Amino acid sequence: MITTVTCGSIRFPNTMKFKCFENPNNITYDVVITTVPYTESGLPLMAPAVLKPIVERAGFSCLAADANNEIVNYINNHPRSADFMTFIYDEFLAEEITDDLYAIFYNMATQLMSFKPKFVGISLITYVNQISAKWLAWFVKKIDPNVTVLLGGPGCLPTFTGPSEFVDTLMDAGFVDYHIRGDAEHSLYEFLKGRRDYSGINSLEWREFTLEEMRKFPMPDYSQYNMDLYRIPALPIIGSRGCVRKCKFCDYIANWPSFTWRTGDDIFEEMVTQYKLYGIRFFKFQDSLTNGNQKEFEQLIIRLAEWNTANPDESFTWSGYYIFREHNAATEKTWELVKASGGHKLIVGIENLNQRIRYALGKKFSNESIDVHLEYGKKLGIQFHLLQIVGWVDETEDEIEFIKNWLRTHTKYKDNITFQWGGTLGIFPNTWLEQNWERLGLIRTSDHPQGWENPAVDSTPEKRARWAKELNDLSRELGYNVGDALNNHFLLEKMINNEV
Amino acid sequence: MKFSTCKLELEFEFGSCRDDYFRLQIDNGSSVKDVDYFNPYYSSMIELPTKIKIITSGKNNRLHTIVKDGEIIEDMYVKINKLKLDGIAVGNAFYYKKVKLVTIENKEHITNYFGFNGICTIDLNHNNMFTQFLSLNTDEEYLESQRMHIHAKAETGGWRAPATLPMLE
Repeated sequence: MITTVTCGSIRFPNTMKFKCFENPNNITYDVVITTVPYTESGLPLMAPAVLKPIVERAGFSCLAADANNEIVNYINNHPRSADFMTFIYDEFLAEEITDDLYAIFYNMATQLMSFKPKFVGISLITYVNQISAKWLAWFVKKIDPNVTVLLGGPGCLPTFTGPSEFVDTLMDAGFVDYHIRGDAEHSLYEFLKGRRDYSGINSLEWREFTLEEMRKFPMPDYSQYNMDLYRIPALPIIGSRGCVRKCKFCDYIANWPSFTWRTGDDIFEEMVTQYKLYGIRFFKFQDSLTNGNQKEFEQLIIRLAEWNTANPDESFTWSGYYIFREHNAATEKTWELVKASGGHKLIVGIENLNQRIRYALGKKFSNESIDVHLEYGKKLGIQFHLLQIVGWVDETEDEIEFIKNWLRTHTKYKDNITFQWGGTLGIFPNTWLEQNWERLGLIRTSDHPQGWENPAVDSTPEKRARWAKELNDLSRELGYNVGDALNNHFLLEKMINNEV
Repeated sequence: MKFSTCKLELEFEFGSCRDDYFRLQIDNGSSVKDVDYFNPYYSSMIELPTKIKIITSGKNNRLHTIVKDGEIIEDMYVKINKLKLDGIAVGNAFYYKKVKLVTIENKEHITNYFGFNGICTIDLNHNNMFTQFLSLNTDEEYLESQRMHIHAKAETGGWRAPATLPMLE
């Protein structure tokens, strides 16, 4: 029995139609590249826009679509939004959303295929996209078995490296024809040029591109994105790949071992050009850190500060990942430049407010320096989004108490801080943690990255999830902003109920 | 509609007793096919909605179940190990919670281990493979417990409506 419900002015079930796949004039494209849910972000996802000019450079026409955004908006407004999460994570069907769920995938596939593409590329940012990608591929192949379906993106794997059981299953079933691994800017180009044996195409290995190659890639093309549909009207931008740090929990560096960067001047030129094209002056850096190369970062913020001074009515703002370093004599000047350049919100991987743990995991900046950076942020009106990992391998209840005390004693920064407590420490393949599993005395309790215990300190997934909830709740009570997402919430609930 | 047609595959495991095996027949509504120990696979294109009947026969309980000291030491059985639609296998909830054998004595056993003569009917009542697969794959007990938990949290303010959640900018 399907129940009809109303939420605001929307009646569910309804027949969701995709704006990104509207095709009133029956236009055709050789290639359609799209994102799939579930990635909770108010920003455009950039992979289709990055790859569109690459496809065109190879001589093909291309539609770049961000279907994820429309679906996330739809789900978040749906009275049964939590039921969609059981589909996204567990591939379960709550009877009440049967028609809605079917309409999403039916319409996504039929509208997409109205462009009569020869190739359909599905971009997966995280493993949470896998179930949607699988079913979109199935619908697409049902409509036209001759279309070539490609999957790409880090979400094809539960982690960054190793075989992808998910892709292999879909290839065996005939839903998917090719898997592009790693950066696709060069491999997709080679694929379209007919070099199907190029590194990264249906292979475990792939090639990082060089500094020189990176600087020659065309700018992302957002011309087919409907910017009115985004909660945050911003343009994503990438200034680097890889990272300058070697944190013990990080699998990103296992996939991108080299740190490559664009020059500050090059990045600045892209920002100006994109502004002139789209009229958007807020940029979101999507690389793992904006200030990895300090020299180029300084050049970028100098250029931006100069632009903002010369063009007060057209000033730029930006946000991105940022690393704290130990403070020194230049710290004040840097912060003033960050502010003048339009630095709006910096996402900082503090990871843990206990200095001992932070040093142990590979981030050697002191608690004193955190206070110094936060003080400048408060003085200059810069927002910090502080990413935290709850439940380091040997973290204790006392150390959680230390964090709680830190929160109580730093409320003067509450208007400048958003905390992101995350889904607790996950241990991923090819990380230092995973390679030192036995030495650390850890026991695997499930295949899930969070499924581990440390008997020496009685650390269990349930306990760590409880800590994360307590820190979430306390920071909220104390008036800090707390970043949260439906999918993260879902994961914590599962952990607390011992379902991981 | 294209989405209502799919390939159904079943993978079985046969267990013998006194060198005898179950006779197994699959009825997909339009044809009946035998599956045996030597080739324990079934494959057929189906049009949804439909019903699949798995018929087990040939077991004589006095002969084909050997009990010693109150314990079964040898048993004739057939087990469904895998059900695939268009090449994708459904998850464990299906095998352990949704497969029901009705014996010739009209007794019901919810299990994928068939130790009696009888009929197992798999009701594929959706009109498309997508929701049909999800339906078979769904663990309703878990789904309901998840909902109750979320509902309880919502009432105490522990679960916020997602639309109000701040998101990573």
